Amino acid sequence: MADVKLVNLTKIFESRGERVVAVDHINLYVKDREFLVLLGPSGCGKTTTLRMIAGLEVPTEGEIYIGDKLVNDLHPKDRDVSMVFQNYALYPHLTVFDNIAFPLKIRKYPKEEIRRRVEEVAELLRIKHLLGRKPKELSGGEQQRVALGRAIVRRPKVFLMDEPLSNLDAKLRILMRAELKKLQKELGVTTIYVTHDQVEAMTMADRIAVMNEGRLMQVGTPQELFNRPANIFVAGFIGAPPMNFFECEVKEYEDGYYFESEVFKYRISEALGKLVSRLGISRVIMGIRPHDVKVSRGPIENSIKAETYVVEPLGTETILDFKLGANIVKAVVPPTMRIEPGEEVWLVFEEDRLHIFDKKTGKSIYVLAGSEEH
Amino acid sequence: MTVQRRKYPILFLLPSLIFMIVVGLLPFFYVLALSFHRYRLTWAKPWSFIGLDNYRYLMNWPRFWNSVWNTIVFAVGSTTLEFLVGFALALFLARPFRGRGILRALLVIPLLIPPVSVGLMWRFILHPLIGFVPWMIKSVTGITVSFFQTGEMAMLSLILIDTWEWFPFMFLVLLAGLESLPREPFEAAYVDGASRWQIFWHITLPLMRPVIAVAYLLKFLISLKVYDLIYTVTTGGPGTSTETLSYLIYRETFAYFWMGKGAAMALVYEYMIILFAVIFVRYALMGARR
Repeated sequence: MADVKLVNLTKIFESRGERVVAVDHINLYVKDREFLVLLGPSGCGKTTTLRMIAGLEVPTEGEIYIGDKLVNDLHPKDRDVSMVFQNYALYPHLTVFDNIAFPLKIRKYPKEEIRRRVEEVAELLRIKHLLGRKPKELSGGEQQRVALGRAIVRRPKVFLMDEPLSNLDAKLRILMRAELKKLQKELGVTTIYVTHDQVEAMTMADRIAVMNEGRLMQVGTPQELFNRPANIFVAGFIGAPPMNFFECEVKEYEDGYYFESEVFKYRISEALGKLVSRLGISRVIMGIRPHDVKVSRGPIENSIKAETYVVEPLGTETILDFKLGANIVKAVVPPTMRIEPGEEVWLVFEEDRLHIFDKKTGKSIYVLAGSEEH
Repeated sequence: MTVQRRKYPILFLLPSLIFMIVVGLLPFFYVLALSFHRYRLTWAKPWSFIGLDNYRYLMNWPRFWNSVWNTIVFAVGSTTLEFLVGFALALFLARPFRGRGILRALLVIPLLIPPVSVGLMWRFILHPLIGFVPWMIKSVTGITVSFFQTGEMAMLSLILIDTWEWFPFMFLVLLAGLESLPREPFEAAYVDGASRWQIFWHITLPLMRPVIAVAYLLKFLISLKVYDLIYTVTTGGPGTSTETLSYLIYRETFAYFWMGKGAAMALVYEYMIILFAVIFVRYALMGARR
C-alpha cells in the first residue's frame, strides 16, 4: 500500500504553435488507503492528471511520488498502479477470464496461481458465471465489473479510475457507487477517482480535490467543501441546486454595516462588517444555498421582497424560483409550503448561512481571514 | 399492387442482369465448350469434340504442373514478403512524427507506376551488363551477380520486384487497420504493465487478424494472376523456371493457337483461384466474427 504525492505537477500540450496548459502546478497529497476524488468540469485537467500518474502522459514539469519512489521516469509496469477506463477498455478478443488474467499473465505468474486469483476476484465481483464469455456478450454493468476485476487482480499499490461509472444508466450508477466504495474499503487500496459528477464525488470520496482550468481549487472532505467552500468556483460547483450569488457593495452607515446590491440592502452584523472592511474589500459576492433561504409570507426584519416565478414540486421538497431584479433566486422549502407563481414573499438570509467572497479574487473571506492570522 | 411490387425490382435489375450475362456468363460457357474440343486457330478444321482429352493431357503434362508450382511459389513468396515489409512499415509509421505525411505519400509511389513500366525498369536496373545493381554489387564486393541466370535467382528477382511494386498496398491497408483500432486496449495493456513486444503479441496482432487476413488474401489472389511482370522481365525463363500459369495459358493459346487446351487450362486456373478464395474468405470472416 502506498500514498501518492504530486509536486508542482504540470502538463502543457503543444500542437501547431498552440500552447494549452492542461495541468498547472498541482500539489496534492493522497493518503494511504484514501479514496480521493478529482472533481471538475470537463477540460479541467483531471483526466490528464490521472494519466500522468498512470504513466500514459509525460509531465512537462513536476514530480510524482508513489510511496517514497519518484516514478516520473518509470514504466507503468514498475509503478504498480492499475487503471479503470471510462469505456472499460477490455480486450475484445479475450474472454473475461483472460481479460482479468492478463496483468498476471504478462508478469509470468504460474498458471495455477493465475487461475486461483482470477476465480477469487470473479467471486468477489460476482462474475464467476461470465468467465468464459467475450466482452461483446456482456452488458455495460458486467463489462464494468470485468474492468474492475482486471484492476484489482494484481493487488496494485494504487487504483486509478477515470469516470468508470459514466457509461452506466442512472440506476446502475447509484448501485455501483455504493459497491465501489465498499470494495475500496475492503481492499484498502489508495484510490484516485476522476469524475465531473459532484454527487458521485460527494457520496464516494474520503476527500475531494476540485480542479478548474488546470488548477487545484480546494481539497477537503465533502463536508468541508460543502460548508466552507474556499472560492466562488467550488461554492458554485458543489451542491444542487447550485448556490445563489449576489454582487454587493459593502457600505457603512450610522446604524451599521450593509451589503448593498442593485435591488436590496441587507444589514450585516458589526463583526462581519468589521472583518470585511479590515480585509479592505469593497465589493463582495454574497452566496447562499437554496436550502438555507428562508421564505416568509409577510415582511420581517432584514428581509428582502421577491416575486415567485416558478414552482417545481419534487415530492419530498419544493424548489421555488424568485425574481429579484434581474436575478433568479432559488430556494428549497418543505412541500407543505404552498406558494403560487406571482405571489409576493419575503426572503430571509441568515448571516451564519452566508458564504462571502471577495469580488476581485473570488476567494472566501474566511480563507482570507484565516491566512491573515498566520 | 403485389404484382407491381414483384415486377418492378426485376425490371430495374434487368439491364445489369443482361450485362452480366453478356460479359460474364456467355464467355464462361464458351470457354467451357471450347475446353471439350480440339480447335487450333491456324487449322482450317472446325471444332472437333474430344471429351475430356484436353484435361487428361494437362494432368500428365509436366510443363503444366511446373507452371502451377511456379505460380504458387511466386504468390506465397511475394505476398508473404510484402506483408512483412508492409506491416513493419505500417507499425513504424502509425506513430505520429514530423514528416510522416510526406513519407507516407512517397511510399505509395511504386503502386502508381504501370506494371509494365515496373517490369521494364527493373529489367534494366538488374541487367547483367548495363544494370545499376549488378554493377554496384561488383564494385563494392567484387562478386558478379546474375539476377536472371538460374531459375531460383530469376524467381527470387521476380518476387523482389513484385514486393517493391506491391508492398505499398499492404502498407496502406494495414496502416488503415492499425489506425482504426481502438486506443484504449493499448493504454490498458500499457498500464497493466505489458512491454512493447507483449502489447504487439497479445493486443495488436489479435486485433489486426481480420485486417491481415483480408489484405493477405487480396494480394495473394492478385499474385496468382501475375502476368505482366513475367512477360516484361523473364518471359518465363530461363527455360520454364519462372513460367506461371497465366503466362503458360497465354503462350499455348495466343502463341501456339491451341484454343481448346488453353480453355481447359484457364478453367483449371479459375477453379484453383476460387478454391484459395473460399479458404481465405472463410478464414478471414471467421476471424472477424470471433
